[in-house]
Amino acid sequence: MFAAVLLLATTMAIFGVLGYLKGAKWAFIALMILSAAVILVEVKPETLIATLNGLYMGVMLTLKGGLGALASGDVEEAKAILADIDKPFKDANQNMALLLVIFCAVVIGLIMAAAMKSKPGVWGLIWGLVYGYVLSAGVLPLISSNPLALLPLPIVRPAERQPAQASVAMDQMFATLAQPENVQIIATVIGIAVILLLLLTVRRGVKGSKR
Amino acid sequence: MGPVEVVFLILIGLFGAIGVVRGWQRELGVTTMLLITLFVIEFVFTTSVGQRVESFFTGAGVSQEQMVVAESMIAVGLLLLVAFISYQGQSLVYPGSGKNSFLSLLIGLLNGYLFAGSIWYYLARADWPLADIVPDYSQFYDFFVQILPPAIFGWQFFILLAVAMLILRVVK
Repeated sequence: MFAAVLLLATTMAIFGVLGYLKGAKWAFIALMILSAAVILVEVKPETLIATLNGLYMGVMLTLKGGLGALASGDVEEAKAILADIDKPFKDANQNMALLLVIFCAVVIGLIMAAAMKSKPGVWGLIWGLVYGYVLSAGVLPLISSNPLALLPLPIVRPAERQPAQASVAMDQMFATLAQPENVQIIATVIGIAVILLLLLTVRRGVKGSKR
Repeated sequence: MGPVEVVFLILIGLFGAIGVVRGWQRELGVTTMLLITLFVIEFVFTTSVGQRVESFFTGAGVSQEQMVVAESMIAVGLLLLVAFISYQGQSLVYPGSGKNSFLSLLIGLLNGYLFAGSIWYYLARADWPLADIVPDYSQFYDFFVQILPPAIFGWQFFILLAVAMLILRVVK
């Protein structure tokens, strides 16, 4: 559970900062692409796995000369070649196909980030944070069998599947955080963060106004 | 999450939005005022000054519970007054050029945490006077109520930080 929260926080922080730096336009378009990928993964996982298996088998069939056999009308040989090719995404590997789809959506978003230019802004930060959450919500159930890793995802994950598990997960997390030793650590972190934020901001403002 | 914490979290979020609109230079002025107010409240309540006042009233027949409620109402009233003056009136403005929305959001959220978080703390300590709020509280509430400003910082923190900010403001 701790690893899931850490991953969620890290992903949200990274994409929040990236969204802020790259601007709202990029962050929103990237979020739309990622959302489409996550929705596909949630709604049509079997179709995606079958499509990716089919693509792989088609490529392998071509590389092993299956197309030549088909062109010469030797269907039996093509069938034999096809039978020798193992599906890459089956049984425990099926989740890898779905991860690949999400990974491709992230890569497309990052390529766009390198290409697009827009102003840094708060909306970029907000869309970036949402991006980080959607990414974590899409990836966590694929890499962890723990039901607590199933983050709530509006519309995509039906309500009846979620609330009990989600609230239990959140309650467990906050119960852990409420332990005195954890509160002490969090209080120290908040104190340091507040001091640094305020003093560095004041100093920066004074130096900036001198120029 | 129950409704009480939601109200305060929304309030903190609103302060963040106000921060973006007003700019971090003005928001830092509000932060300083809130830090000084929290110093005054905590200093009076937690040192020998507060104990003397408390023993005086206890001697006059005021119960311990009534004292806590009175202290909380005074603290909340003072915070509301200072926040109103800071936002509405001629406030302390820090030097700095340029508009940085992210920084303004952060300072605004910090002001929300200091203001709404402190009100939450004092009202919860007095067991929610004037409001129909009863246990069972959620795990989130139990956690968050432990990290509210007066719960984790002493009066020394508030005054030292406010003074450090003011010194840094004037030192060139």
